[in-house]
Amino acid sequence: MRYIFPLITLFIIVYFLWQGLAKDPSLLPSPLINQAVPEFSANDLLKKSTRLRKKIFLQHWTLLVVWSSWCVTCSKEQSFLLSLQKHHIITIYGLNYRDDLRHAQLWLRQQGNPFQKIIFDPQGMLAIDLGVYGVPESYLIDPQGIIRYKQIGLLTANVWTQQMAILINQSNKILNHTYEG
Amino acid sequence: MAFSYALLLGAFFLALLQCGIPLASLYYQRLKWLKWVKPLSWSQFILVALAIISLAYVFLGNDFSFAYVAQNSNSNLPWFYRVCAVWGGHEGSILLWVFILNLWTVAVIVLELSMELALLARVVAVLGFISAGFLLFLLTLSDPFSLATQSVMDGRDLNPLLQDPGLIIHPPLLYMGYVGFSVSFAFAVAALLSGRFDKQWASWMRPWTLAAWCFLTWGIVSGSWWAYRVLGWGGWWFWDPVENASLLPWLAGTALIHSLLVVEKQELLKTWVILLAILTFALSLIGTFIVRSGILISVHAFAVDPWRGVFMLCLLVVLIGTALCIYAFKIQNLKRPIVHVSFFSRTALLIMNNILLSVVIFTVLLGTLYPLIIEVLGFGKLSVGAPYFNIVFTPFAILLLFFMGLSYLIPWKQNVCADVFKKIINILLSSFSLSFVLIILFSKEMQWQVLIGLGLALWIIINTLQLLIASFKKKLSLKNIFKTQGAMLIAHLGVAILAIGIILSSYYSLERNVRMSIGDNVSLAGYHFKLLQVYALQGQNYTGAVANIQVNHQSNHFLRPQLRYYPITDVMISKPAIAMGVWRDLYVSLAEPVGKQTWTLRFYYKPFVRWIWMGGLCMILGGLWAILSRHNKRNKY
Repeated sequence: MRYIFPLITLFIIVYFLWQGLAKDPSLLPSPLINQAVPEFSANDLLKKSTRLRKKIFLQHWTLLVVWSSWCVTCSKEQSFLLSLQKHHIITIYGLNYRDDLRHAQLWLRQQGNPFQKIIFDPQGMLAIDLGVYGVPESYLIDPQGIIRYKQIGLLTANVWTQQMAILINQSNKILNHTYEG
Repeated sequence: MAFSYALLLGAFFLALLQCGIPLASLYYQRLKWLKWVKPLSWSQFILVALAIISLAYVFLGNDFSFAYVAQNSNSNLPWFYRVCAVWGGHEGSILLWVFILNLWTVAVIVLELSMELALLARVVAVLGFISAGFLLFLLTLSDPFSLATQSVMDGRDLNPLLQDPGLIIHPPLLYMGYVGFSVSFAFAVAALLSGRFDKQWASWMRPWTLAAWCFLTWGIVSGSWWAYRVLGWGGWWFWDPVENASLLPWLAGTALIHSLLVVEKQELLKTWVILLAILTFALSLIGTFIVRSGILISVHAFAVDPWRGVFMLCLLVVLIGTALCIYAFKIQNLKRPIVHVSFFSRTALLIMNNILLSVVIFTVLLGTLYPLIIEVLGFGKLSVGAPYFNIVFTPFAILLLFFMGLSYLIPWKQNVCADVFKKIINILLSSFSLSFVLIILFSKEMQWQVLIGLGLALWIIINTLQLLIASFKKKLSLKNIFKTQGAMLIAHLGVAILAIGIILSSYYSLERNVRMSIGDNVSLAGYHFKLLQVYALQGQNYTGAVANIQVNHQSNHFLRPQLRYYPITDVMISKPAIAMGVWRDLYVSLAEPVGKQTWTLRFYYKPFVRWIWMGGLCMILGGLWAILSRHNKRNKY
């Protein structure tokens, strides 16, 4: 009978490894969750003359997507972002991270542009303030300019419906409730 | 490339046959079928070899239409790094895994001539089963030959941290070790299936275990040597999950070599040895799993698709689960003689070694998986760092060193007489007083940790000398001693050297972090360093700066640490300059520019650090010696 113990031990270890697989180690709690977007001033990638500031995030929910033309995974979430934009589900801004201006513009022409505005951050300065971990990465920002959710890695339809959309709905409900009250 | 994929597919079916035919032929008693075993293994080996060669070929030809090549290479990469990029990513390293498994299989059928085919067939069948599992993984979820979805002009380059000569050999060596334990595993499972596990079987199994152990030791030593030279912090072991993943099978393998000796001499511990062989391979698989699934965050982290983790976990369950099921049902069939083990005998010491190593394995495994367990149980996130491992490891290391020295004085079977106790106390006292005197002579401060560690290392060294002198007195020739005890003497001496290196370099290292402008001086541990110039640097796929530092005024001794920037992957890497020496290393790394002509530099003085790797090499020599002396003995039969 005691010779079955190794088998049981194996299954205990496998159970933890299995559960660990489901937990994404990249889901680091960001220190910036529920904090305001830091102040910044940066160029627009497409319109050279305009300066973008923190106030572009106010008055509406925003999805801020960090991307680069050299990032291979970034193109995988592009079709989902385009469909979000097409159905006017949310305002999407891009943060072009450590990139070359011409490469980035060429990439947008090839992959399509779901972004209303794109912050151009060639030195990665704003990215440092935001605590960007790698590309792609997406931030959900509420109408008060407060970061509510951070997705490290690919933004999929699943993440959108199960995390971000729910957050938006809940917040809107609470808001409506307070207005009615 | 459809052709290479077909090679792998062919190898997969051959692996299935290699597993199925021997088992079927033994079950149905059709021994004629056994003649197919060797040709099957050979042809599988050839197909896998062709596949890995063709992958190397597309890397050399810069064919970026392959997704794997585009992700791990670049046309500016020097050609030898392009070859090494074959195992620079996930798919290629699994292919390397399979290739090495086939290499071991072929080695077994070529070298294991003294075994009858019917016995060998079961071993080869188990190896075929493992190979089929990994080939299926290659074919479904990690195809190295899949084409890129979009065409790219140039590849994304090999991770700059991996662009180092140390890393050329490190992964293959590590895999030789990991995969080599599959041979011990196959022998153990075959022993269970046949119901035969005796002295003879253990003597077949031991050289293979030793060979795998030597490779793994070499792999770990080269990995630590790489970390020391490349990571720029002067550290050589970080208790990183990936490092632990290689240490765990090493510890289990060490226990296995020692306990196989007991089986060979006295036919004791049989059920334990079988379990240990399975455990060693299981830890190798878990090691591969941890590295390749990205389940634990580490400096070596590889981001991967979650299905791969699921597949590897299933493979672990199928391989180890099957083995443990067979173990549970068949282990009673093994004949076990009832032998009384006397309390003070070498056998008892070897059992002690196994208990201690098992406890160490458990604590390291627990520490490595603890963050995961806590997270799964919902208690939040945490990480277990070096302090935990240092604290739990040290007492066991002390006990292991003590028992290791004791083993020189105690004979195999019979109880010891009072004479030996006197000897033990004498040698113990003299080694600790020698340690005390040495510390007083060479250092200002007396630390009790150093006293104990150095004392125990000397305890082993003095015991070695004592044994040699005693044998001289008995007029035994040196050749004879080395034939019978050489392996143990060399390997254990290696452990003593390693221990000295670890203790002295961790307690007496000095470091300074300084900002320097051109012409500035700094002194550390009696050495003077002067920053003469900083030049620009241009490599094949990087740019950077190199500092020219003069050591001790007016000497011709210069150190040139570099700071490299790899534009394709956008990574900065500091390449330290090291003045090596038997007694100390001087280690300088160029950290970052602070302003115009001003730089941050890190200086380290590391006494005896080289002894760590020398000890490791000595242990490998001991292992090799054990294999060779076994080989000679066998020819005599």
